[in-house]
Amino acid sequence: MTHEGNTLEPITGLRDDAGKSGGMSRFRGTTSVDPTTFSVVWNRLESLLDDAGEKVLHATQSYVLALVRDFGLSWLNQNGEIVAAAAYIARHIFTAAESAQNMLRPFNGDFAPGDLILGNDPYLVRSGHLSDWTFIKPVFCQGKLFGFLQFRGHMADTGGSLPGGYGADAYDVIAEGLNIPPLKIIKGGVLDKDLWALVCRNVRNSKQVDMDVMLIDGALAQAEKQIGKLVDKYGLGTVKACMSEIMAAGERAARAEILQMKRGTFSGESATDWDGTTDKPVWVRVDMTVGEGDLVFDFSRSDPQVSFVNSPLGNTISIAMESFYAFIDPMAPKNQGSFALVRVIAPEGTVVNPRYPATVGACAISVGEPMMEACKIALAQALPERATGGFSRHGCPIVFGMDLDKIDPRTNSVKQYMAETFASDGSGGAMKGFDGWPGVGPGSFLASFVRPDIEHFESEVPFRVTRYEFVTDGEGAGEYRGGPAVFVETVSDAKPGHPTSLMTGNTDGMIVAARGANGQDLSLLEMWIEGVDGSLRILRTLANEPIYPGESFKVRAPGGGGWGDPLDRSAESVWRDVIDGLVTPERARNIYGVVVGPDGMSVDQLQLDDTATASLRASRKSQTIR
Amino acid sequence: MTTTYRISADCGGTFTDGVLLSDTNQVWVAKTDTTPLDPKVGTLNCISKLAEQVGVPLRELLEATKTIILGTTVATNIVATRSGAKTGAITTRGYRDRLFFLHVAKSDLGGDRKATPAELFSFRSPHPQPLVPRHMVAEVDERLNFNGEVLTQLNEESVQQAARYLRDKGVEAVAVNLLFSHLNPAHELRIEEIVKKEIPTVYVSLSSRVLPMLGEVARWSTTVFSAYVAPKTAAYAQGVSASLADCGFKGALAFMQSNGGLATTDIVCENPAALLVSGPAAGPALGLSLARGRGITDLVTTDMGGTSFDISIIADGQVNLTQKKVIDGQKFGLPAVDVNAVGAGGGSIAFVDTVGRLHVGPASAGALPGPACYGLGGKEPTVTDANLVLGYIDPNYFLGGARKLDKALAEAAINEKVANPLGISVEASAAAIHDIVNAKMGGAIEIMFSRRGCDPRDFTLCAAGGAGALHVARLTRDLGMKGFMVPRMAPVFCAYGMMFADLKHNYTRTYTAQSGKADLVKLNAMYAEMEEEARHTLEREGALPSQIAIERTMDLRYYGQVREQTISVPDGPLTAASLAVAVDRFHEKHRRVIGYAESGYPSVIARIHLAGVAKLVTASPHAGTLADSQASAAKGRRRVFFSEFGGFSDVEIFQGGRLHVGDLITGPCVIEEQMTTLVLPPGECVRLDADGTYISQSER
Repeated sequence: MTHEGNTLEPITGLRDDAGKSGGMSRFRGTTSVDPTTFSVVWNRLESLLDDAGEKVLHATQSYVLALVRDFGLSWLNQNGEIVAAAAYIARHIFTAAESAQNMLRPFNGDFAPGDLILGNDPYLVRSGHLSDWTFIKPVFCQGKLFGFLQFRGHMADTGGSLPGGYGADAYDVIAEGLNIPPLKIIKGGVLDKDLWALVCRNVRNSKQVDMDVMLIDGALAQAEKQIGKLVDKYGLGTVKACMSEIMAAGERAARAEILQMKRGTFSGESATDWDGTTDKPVWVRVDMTVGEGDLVFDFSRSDPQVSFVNSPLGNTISIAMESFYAFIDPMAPKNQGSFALVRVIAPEGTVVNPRYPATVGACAISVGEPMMEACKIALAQALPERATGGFSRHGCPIVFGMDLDKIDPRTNSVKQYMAETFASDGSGGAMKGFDGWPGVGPGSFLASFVRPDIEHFESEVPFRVTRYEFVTDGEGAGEYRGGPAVFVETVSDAKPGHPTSLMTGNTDGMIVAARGANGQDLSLLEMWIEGVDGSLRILRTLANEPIYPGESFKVRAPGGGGWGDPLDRSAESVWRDVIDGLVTPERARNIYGVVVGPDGMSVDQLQLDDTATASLRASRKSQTIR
Repeated sequence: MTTTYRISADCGGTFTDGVLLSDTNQVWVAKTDTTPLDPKVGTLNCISKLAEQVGVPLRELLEATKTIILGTTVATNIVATRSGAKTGAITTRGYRDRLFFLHVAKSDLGGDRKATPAELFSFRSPHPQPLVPRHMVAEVDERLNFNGEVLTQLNEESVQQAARYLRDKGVEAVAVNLLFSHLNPAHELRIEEIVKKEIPTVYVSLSSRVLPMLGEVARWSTTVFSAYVAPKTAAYAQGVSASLADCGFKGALAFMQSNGGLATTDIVCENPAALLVSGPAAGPALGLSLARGRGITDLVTTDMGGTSFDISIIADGQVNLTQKKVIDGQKFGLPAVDVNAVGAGGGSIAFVDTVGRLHVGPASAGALPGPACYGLGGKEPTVTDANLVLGYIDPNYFLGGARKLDKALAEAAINEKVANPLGISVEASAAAIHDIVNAKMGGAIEIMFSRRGCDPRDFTLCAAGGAGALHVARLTRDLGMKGFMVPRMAPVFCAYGMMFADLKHNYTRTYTAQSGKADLVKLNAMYAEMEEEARHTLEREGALPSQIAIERTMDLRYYGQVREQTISVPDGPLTAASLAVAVDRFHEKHRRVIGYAESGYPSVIARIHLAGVAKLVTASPHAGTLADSQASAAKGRRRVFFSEFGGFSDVEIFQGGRLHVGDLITGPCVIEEQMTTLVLPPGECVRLDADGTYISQSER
C-alpha cells in the first residue's frame, strides 16, 4: 500500500518530455566519478541543506520565515559559486551569484572553522533589501577550507523608521534600516559580543532576532558536520569532482534548453505603480537576445533609478535566472553552472542597479514582479508553448502597531506587532493543460508559502477578517482559466489611542496591471478603507496609512491570467464553474460560448445545454478572424 | 479444553493479509485479494482461507475465536477514489472559500517527503481540490472572537436555509466549520440540532468535536474528511461486524486506528475518520515489542512493499504520533503514528534524467503491469528487476514459487533504460539501481534521524514488507546503524502487529498561556475532563478501570515561535514543580532537535493532549517456527553479485523454513523464506531466534 500522499502529475509528463528530446546522452559529460556516487553525493548535498532549512523553519520567530518560508540555503564551492540549493524561495538562492563574492572578498581568504559572516548592505553585499540577511559559514574538511554554507532569509526586523522594512518613504538607505557590511559576528565559534550588542540594540524586538540568528548558526553547524561525514565517506577528491560535475550538468542542461529557443532579440516591458515619492509608474525594459547556446538579458532601456523600487544587482540577476528557470524543464539543475551561459546587462544608475544611497526596500516584489513579467514576456516569444497566464502581484497590506496595554515578556517593553494574512493575494496564471492555482500570489513565491490561519492572526493582532472569498467572474478566461479573483475584508478592533497602521510597501498592480507572459494583462488591484461612517478612502500601494478602531480595509485582488481560447475550454468545466458560482451564466455564454439553462433557476441548478453550446461555439468560431 | 484463537486481518490496497494465532502459539498466515467493491467480502474470504489451513469449518473457527482485529484501507480508498458521501459544509459567513485557498505549501503537497524541483518550480500540475465542491458550502450568520466570546448571535433562520439548501442537494453528510468553535462549541451544537431536524438521516461532523484545536484550516479540513468518509466507513464497520456475527463470531471485534491503537465498532462509528491513515500504523508497535524482548529501545521500523518504503523512528521506546499529515493536498490533524513514506519499493521504476542522473521512483510499476520480469507487459526497469539480475531473487522461488520471473525481460529493460544511456553494463546498472534505492531509503532515514537529533549508531532497523530483507543488511551498514532484525512475519507485518495493539484514544484541548503564568486549576480541570472522557470510552469498550493507563503531554514553544515541541508531563496533578519539569524537558528537546536552546527564554504552552490506553490482549508476539524439518537447510548455490568481490560469485542459498532456532548464518549467502528473501553480504551474520526473527550478529 502507498502512503505517499498525492504525487503531482507533471513528474511523469516531464520525464516523457525528457525521453522524447533524445535522452540524456548529449548532456552527460565525461567524469571520473561513477554514476552511483555522483547521484548519491548530489542527493546528499541537497538533503543536508533541506534538513538545516527544516530546523530553522520549525523554530524561527520571524513571521515571514516561519509562515512564508521566505528563505533559502545553498552550498557554495571554494570560489563562492552555487553548487546545490534547498528549495524554499528561489530568490534567496540565486542572488548569491552576485553577493557571495561580495560577502567573502573583504576577508581575503582569512576564514577559520566556526566563523559566521553576516551582511545585508545593498551596496556592499548587493543582494537585495535590508530585511534579507545573508549568513555564510565557511566549511573546513580535513583542516582545509572546502566551501561555504549560505543561509539567506527575511528577518523579523532590521531597524529603520518602520518595522519590517516596507516603509516607502525613507529618505535614504540609512533611514531604511540597519546597513550591515560583511561582518564576522562569530569568530572561531566565539560570538563577538560587542558587535552583536550594537546590531541587537538597533533592531526591534532584538531577543527575537538574536535567537533566530543563533539557531541559524546552530542549523548551519549541523549541516557542516554532515558535509564532513560525506567527505569522510567518499573522499575529498571525489566530492570535489562531484561538485564540478553537478555544475557542469547545470551548464549542459541550460545550453540544451537555450538551443531549443527561437534565435533573435525579444523585448518585454512592465512597470510598477510608482516609487512612493514621485507620482508615476516606473518602467523596466528588457531586450533578450538568444544566441547559439547563450542568453543575454539587457535591461539598459529601463528607467533611471528612483526611490524604494530599486533593485540591487544581485536581485536583478536572480530575477533573470528565476524567469529562465520558469520556462525550462523544471528538472534542470539550478546552480551557477547555468549562469555561465546567461548574461545580465544592468547599467549603474538605473532601477535595476541603483547607486548609493537610494532606497531599495521594494526590490523583491514591487519592482521584482514587473521585472519578472518583462523577462517572461521576452522568453514567451522565444518559447511560445511555455508561456503562462499572468500571476497576480502581491496584494496584502501589512498591519503593524503597538498594544500599549500589553508587555512583551521577551523584552519587558510594550508589545509591538507586525503581521500579514496573505489572504488577499490574487491567483496564479493558467498554462497549457492546467488551470491557474487559486490565491497563490506572485509567480516568484512558487506557491511555497503557507497562508496563516485566521484564528492565529486574530489571536495575535487586533484585527478581524470578516470576508475571505473568491470573486465571481474574476478569472482570466481561456482554454485553461486563471485562478479566481479574491476579495478580503478586515476590521480593526484596535483600542483607541493605540498606534495602528497599514503598510502597503510590498503591494503592487493598482495603477499598472500585472502582465502575463502571453500578453494578457490582469485586472487591477483595488484597496480601500471604509470609515465608521461609511466614507471610503483609497489605500494606495507603497503607502503607510493609519487605520482607526472600527474601520475596515478591503482588497480585491486580480484573478490569474488564462491560457488559450475560451471557446476551446471544456464545456463541462465551464458549467462546473457556473454552478460553483465562480462564473455567471452570462459570462459563460459571452466569453466561453457555453449555454446553461433553463432560465430562471438558481445557478446551482442549471444544466449544461450541449446542443446550444455546440452551435453557439461553431458560429462564434466562424466569426473569429484568425 | 478446546483451542481458542485470535485473528487479525489487514485489508490493503491489493491484498488482504490474515494471521491466525492459537492459544498454543501456533500461527497460520493467509493472503487473499482485496475486494474493493465490498471490502468485507475480502475480509471474510481471508478468514475462510485461514479456517481451511487450520482444517476446521469457518463457523467452528469463529465460535472458538475470542478476538478479531481488523485493519482497513476503506477510509483511505474512499478519499483516494473520491467515492465518499455526498458531503456539504456549513461555515461562518465570509469563509465559504477558506479551504479552496491553497493552504499547504506546494512543495509540501507530497506529504512528508522532499519536493522534487519539478514540484517546486513548476505550476504544470493540477491544484488540490477539496472534497466538498464550492456549491455545497453554505454560510450562516454568526461570529465568535479569539476568546470564544459571541460577537454575532447565531441566526437560526440562516441555519435553516442552509440546511434546506443542502437537503435539496441530496446531502448525506455535513461538516460544520465555524471560527473559534474549539473555544465555544455552542453554535456548532445548535446547528447540528437544526440540521438533524431538517435532514433526519444525515451524518453531521462538528469541527469542535472532531479536532478542538486552534487553527481553522486543519480543524475544518479534518472535519470535512470526517464527514466525507463517515457514512461508508461506519457502514463497513457495522456490516463486517454483522457478517462475522452471522458466521458465529461472539468475541470482541476491534479496528486499527491511525493512532496505532484499537477501537471497537461503536466507537469507530462515532469517529470513522480515525481510520483514515491506519494502514501502516500497526508496524511500529510490533517492531517495538519484538525489540523490547531483546533489550533494544532505539529502533527504526521499515516496511518496503511494491510502491513505498514506510519509516518510523522509535527513540527511547516511544512510538511518536503526528498531527500534521497531508492527504490529497488537505491537512489531516487527527493523531497518526508518525510514519514517513518515500517512493521506494520493489516496483519503483529506475530512469536516467536529461543530465545523466540515475533516479529510482517515486513512480511505481505497481502490481500491473508490474516489474518487467513479471512478463505482464511492463517495459520499465524496477528494483525487483535489478535484484533479479543481481542474483538476489530466485526466478523460480519468488513468493515461494507462486510467480515465475523472467530474467531476460529484466535485463532487456535495464539495458534499454539505464545501461545504454549511462554507457555501462547491465550488471553494473542493476548494482547502481540497488545502490540508488538504498541511498534513497537511507537518505530518508537520515533526515528523520537528524530532525530528531538521533545517532544512527544507537539504532537497530526492523525490516518488514516483502522487499525489505533484500536490502536491509547493506542499508544498515551504509547508515552505520547498530544492527538489523528481520521477522519471519515481515510480509504480513502489519496484520500480525495489530494482534498485539492496545485500545487507545487521544484527546486535545487548546490552552494558551506563558508557562510561568499558566492557570494550574484550569489546566488540571482540562486534563481531568479529557481523562474522564477517555475512561468512559474505554470502559464502554469493555476495559476494566485497573487496565486503563493515562498519558499526558503538552505542546510548548518559545514565546514568538509558531511551531511547538510535544513534551511529556510528569504523572499526578499538575503543579508548579511538575510544570517546571516539563519546561526543562522542552529546553532539552529543543537543543537536541534544533541545535540551540536558551533556558532563560520565556516559553508558552500551546495545547495539551491526553491519551487513554487499555490492553485488549496481554500476550506478546511469538511467531514460533512455522515448520520444522530435519532436512538440511542448504538448498544449493547460485551466482550472486556482491560489490565487495567486484562482481558475481557462487554463494550458498539456504531454505529459511529448515533453519533451526539458534542457527548462525554467515554471509555471503542468501536465505529464502517463503514470502521474502534475506541477502547477507560478506561480513554479515544473523542468528535465528525462537520468536522467528533473524537478528544481526556482526559488530559494527
